[in-house]
Amino acid sequence: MSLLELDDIRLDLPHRGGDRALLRGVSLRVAPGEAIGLVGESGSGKSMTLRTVLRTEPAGARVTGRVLLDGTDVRSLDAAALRRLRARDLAMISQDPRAALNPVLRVAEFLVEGLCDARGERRGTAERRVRDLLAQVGIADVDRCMDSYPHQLSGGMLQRVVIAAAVAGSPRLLLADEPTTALDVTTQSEVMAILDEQRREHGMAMLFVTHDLELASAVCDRIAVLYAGQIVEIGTPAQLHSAPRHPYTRLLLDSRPSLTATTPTLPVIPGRPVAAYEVGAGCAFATRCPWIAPRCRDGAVPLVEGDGRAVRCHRSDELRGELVRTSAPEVTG
Amino acid sequence: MLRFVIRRLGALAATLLVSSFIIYAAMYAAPGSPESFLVRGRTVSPEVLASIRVQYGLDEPFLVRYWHWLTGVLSGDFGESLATRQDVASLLASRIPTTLGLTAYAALLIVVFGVVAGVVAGLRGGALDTAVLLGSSVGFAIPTFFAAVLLMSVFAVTLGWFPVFGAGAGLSGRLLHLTLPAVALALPAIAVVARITRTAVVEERDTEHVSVSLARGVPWRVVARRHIVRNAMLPVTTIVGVNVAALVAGAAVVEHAFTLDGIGSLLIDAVQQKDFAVVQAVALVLVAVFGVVNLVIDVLYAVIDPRVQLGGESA
Repeated sequence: MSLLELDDIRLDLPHRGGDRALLRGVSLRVAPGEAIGLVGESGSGKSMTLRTVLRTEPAGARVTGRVLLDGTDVRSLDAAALRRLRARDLAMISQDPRAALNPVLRVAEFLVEGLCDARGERRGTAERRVRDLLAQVGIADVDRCMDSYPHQLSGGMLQRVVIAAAVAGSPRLLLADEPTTALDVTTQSEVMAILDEQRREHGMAMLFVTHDLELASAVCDRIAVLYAGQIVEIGTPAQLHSAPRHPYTRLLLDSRPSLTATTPTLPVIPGRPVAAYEVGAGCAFATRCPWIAPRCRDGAVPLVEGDGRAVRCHRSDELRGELVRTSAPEVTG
Repeated sequence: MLRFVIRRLGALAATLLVSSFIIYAAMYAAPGSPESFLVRGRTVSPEVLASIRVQYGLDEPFLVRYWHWLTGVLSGDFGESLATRQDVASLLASRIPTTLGLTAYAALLIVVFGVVAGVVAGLRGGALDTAVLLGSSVGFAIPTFFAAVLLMSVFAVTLGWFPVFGAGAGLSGRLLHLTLPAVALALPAIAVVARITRTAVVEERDTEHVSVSLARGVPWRVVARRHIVRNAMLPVTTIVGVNVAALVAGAAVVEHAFTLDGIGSLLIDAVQQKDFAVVQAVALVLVAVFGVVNLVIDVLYAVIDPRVQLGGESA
């Protein structure tokens, strides 16, 4: 049984001259304790997918489809039930920890709030638990950190605080939206390691949004590649790296500079990313695909499952040999 | 904190010293002289005029006269009223309680009605928001003297709920007498504060830390209180402070309209009569009040916002 099940999620935002689609039918299953990466360019709908789970999509957005968490339909919950679900089962880690914390409240207030005000726990027990967690996420002086205001801490420290706050309530599912993008490169890997460690230790499932395929490969069990509001391919990091089945996945992998081989120029995916609402009939990637065939331009392309993975491409069987990466680096995961 | 307050008090003293000089010099430069007021238009011989000038020390050089006045003020002696021959200090002492009561009452109205209306409009939105926006536009557009006349004619003359003029006796009598003047005085400031508060609340509502708290399952009323309203109070404090400080000056119009015997009406009378000593004393009091209110606001600001570093700030 899956912990989370997204079933044909569509999201439209009202816009002058008609609605604009941001998600065009996203379906996904997350098993308990499983980490899934959502990878794609800006505007592909990866963050929006996350927000439909937490129901924090922009005001006025129309969402159809079902989000089932442990069989509960999240989208149809009333305000009180949604609040309980958010307090108990879900936790979000967002991109910029400095914006996530109220600048005029102490870190202790932020940490304890999610337990006391949201879950009705006692202040004393809540404080003991967050202290332990702060120590676990590598904060040396817990007392000082608790007494600090956000502006007195570095971005890396703050994101550790946010991670501690997220795991404090032992949620079933972590929703991480580019949690290391706003940090220094040197602290990025540290924070990512802490997040990964905490997730495994507490047995939480995770939806991990990033534009970095390598980073997702390092911490996720499976990766879903999004393009223009749809999942175009899902597979394990090893599957995607050695034998991508969708042209977009292959090009995404190629556009990442390799550490071992030197290339004269960085390969770039031709054309520009297509927004979900700009997609006409046929495959969304048709405008940029070097392997395009006439039939790619008409008719929606279904997501076809097989071999423990899924791909949304008419020609995936024909291209199977051509898309294999010979110089694919070793990937664990 | 204490060091900050002490330093600011020092700066306030310096401000008062400079403004005392400016006030004294302005009166010196103003058209019309005290001796012409003293002779009240009668034709007098140059000898009499000269003796008056000697009697009041008007024949001395400007700086010497300023020095005499300043040392007097520092020892609590503001001189003597030219018009009534009363001691200015005791005149002020008898007038200040009325003005203080009036402005304190108006300040309370500003904080209670302005901030509450702004918070409700910002949090609830919809028809309430529109009502507050409209009301604040009207409140801001009405001149104080007109508001005073309007309030008097409706609530005092037509409905008879409040007395028309005077300061009243006893606590309840005073409150009753001061209600209409305080409302007239506070009205434009209530409008401004309501509007600024509303904008600040709406802005805070859209911040990420608010949506993060809601996404963590923190109840709406806790988020509204702890994250939205509290953070919105930062700009509101500044605006309330400026408006409260300005009340003391604005009190002149209202005291005149409602014939209250505060320092505002005292100032108007004194200016008309060229009663230099009184004008100087009242002006100095106004500057002092402005400085003290601003100091209080700065301290409050540091209490609300931990990012404000009082120690490193130059006064």
